[in-house]
Amino acid sequence: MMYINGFSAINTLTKAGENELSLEAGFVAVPFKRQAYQDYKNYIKGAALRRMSPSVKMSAVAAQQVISQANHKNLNGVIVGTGMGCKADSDAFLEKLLEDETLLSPTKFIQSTHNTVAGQLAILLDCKAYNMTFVQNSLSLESALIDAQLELASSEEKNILVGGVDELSPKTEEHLQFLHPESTFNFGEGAHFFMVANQKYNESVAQIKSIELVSELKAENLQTKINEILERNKLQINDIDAVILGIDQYLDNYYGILQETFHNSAVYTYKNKIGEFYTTNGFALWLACYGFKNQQIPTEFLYGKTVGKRLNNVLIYNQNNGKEHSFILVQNL
Amino acid sequence: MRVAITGLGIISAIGNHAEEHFFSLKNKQSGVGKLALLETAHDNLPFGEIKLTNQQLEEALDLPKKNNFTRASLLGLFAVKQAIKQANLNLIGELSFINGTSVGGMDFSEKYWKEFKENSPKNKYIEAQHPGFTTNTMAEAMGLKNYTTTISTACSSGANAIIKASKLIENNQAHIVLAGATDCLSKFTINGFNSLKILSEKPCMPFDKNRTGLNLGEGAAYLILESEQSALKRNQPILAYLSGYGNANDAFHQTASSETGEGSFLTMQKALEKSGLETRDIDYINAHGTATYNNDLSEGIAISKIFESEIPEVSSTKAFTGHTLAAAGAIEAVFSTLAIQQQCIFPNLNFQDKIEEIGFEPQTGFVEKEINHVLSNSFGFGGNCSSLIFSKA
Amino acid sequence: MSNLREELKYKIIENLNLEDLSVEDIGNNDLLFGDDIGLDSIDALEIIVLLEKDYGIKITDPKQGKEIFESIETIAQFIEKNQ
Repeated sequence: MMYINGFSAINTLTKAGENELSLEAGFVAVPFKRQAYQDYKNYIKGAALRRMSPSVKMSAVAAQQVISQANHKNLNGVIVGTGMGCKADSDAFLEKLLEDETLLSPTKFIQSTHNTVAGQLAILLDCKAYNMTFVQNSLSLESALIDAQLELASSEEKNILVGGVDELSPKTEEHLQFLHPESTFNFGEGAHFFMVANQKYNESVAQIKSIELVSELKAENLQTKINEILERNKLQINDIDAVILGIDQYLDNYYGILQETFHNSAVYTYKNKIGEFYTTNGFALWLACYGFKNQQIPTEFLYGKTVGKRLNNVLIYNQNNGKEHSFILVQNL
Repeated sequence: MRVAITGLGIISAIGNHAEEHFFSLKNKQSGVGKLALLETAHDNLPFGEIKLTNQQLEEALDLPKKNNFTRASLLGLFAVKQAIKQANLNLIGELSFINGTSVGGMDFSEKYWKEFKENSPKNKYIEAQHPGFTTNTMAEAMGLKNYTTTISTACSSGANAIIKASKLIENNQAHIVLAGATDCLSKFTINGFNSLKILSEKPCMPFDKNRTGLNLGEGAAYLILESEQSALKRNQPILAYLSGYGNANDAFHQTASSETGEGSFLTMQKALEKSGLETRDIDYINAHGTATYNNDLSEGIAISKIFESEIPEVSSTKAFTGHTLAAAGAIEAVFSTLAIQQQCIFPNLNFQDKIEEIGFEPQTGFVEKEINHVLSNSFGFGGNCSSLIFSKA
Repeated sequence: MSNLREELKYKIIENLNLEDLSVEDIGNNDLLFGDDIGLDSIDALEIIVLLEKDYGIKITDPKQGKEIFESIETIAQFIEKNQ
């Protein structure tokens, strides 16, 4: 059993701390989207703040918000997924050493290990419990969620902080243009954090029924995979009220198969609004939680048909260029 | 449910497979010395470098000329193949794969950083520095389709990959898992550790009062972990069991361990609890023992605190291999399994004077004795502390 | 003489990213690593690099830094003695 008892996001669309969407901001057509939140001092003491990279800052705020939503329960673990870690500091240290290998200062280096965010959260929250970091491209956050599920498979009451974060460094911007010269798509950054537990509380907003990750999956086997997941959860196709798809700039047939399968459900998408990054799927899970709380997902995210009346079962599907497929089934409480 | 180890694969500065490692450890032959392959301004310092070029590794692995392999993935696949072979696995595509790496393909990122530009053929290495790149390169070469992920918790990555594999098996989400870690030497890490002033100018001296810092190394090690039932059904010899593990965070400082060693204390305590063993059941501790001032004091205090008057034999093997970062936990998991199979304790090199604040001296000789349970520690930046307990089959 | 102390304060604020502090906030005898300013071991390494880069003074053993880096005053005296 995995319940979500708090959810928070820092990205171009959300007002940090309020779990509200400021949709206008997201419609500005810029190729790179940097989140605008800057009031870090409300959450982090000055001395600690001075060395923190954007990823650590975003995560520190989002983490504290979900902990307070979940009424500050005793924390039994911190699990973070990140595709690139504290990329800006890593870039900075690398460029310095390529110039000259002597007289390098350590500050940028110590931020560059991929577990910096989880480590800094442990210090900030004084959490000596389980601590883990997954760095698996577009399955980073999903790997963290699966790990949380395993940690929660215990008879004791457990609460775990789990989240995904990626920052858009200036060098990454430049490199992405080399990798995707034809791109018409937005690249972005953000942090999405969740408090999950194996107990249902008053503040619980959703239950994650299932998370499945597949590295390699042929399009013709996608339908079978979906059927398996539904069957295991004793659901029919028509029980899925909404699907949130990670549609990106690559026109492939995977997302089309889901649209076809769930033609009676509402279909939503989001990368066109918050931008593409390795842990961008965190927004889809956030959006599902937001939808359950407000009884609807804003129509701005609709892809195709109209919204259904109820919002009980949501299937989130994402993949990266035909690889790294993730299926998250989440249910309203 | 018991989690069995049925395959081992390893490469480091002291050997290209498990038997060579055992020979080097037994005969006190260290792999730490002068650099021959990597070019850096810090080539005055000693390193645990593997003296095989990338090209030699490519040839040994029979890779096509055109490939995306970075050194970490070359070393990784080199070790993986041994583990798969020993465990007699046929349906490799169905394996779950938990990989640990910290440096990833940074060696290629730093080499081509200035060549990344429009239409450059080197752009395929832009993403190489993300750990997932190294893992996927290995996974694709093996034809893995199932669940593949990467753990990057600095120097505890290898140990955490093994923990994760065990959790998957215990929760019935997988029967057989390939887990381990790989890291290569790179200018990035050499300069990083140098900027922290923790690289020793001489071969490192774990647990010595006058220790002068660590030596960096490179390597890879992988284990095949499977449920006991699966191993028995396949008639596959069980080399050892993973009987316990712990993971905790020191929550003290980004790079330094707390002086009280709280994170290391907690993780050893958790590992003992999980295994159901008492402190007196542990016959040998393969310590993290990096030979930095900070680590050895902190780890030593934690060991003294938890084992009180019954401290088992302790040694660090870092002076053989150098500190192989993410790979260390996996390499030392292989050493722990070898210690159980061969019923021995490996020597702690370069030790002379005891650290006053801690209650033990490391074992400096190769000692044959009854070994039923081995505790292996791995601690990293970010306060990440992990311990594994291996038990005799 | 006191220029060196002001210069050191400025450089330490700049290099250590002490955004919240200004030169006036640091007294010559304030404990840099104690309760007054609250620096840590990473800052000590940053100061070592700063001394070598800007004043040509090399400190090889980080432990040696402990006494030298007690305050702006002790660092200034160390520089004056060694330059």
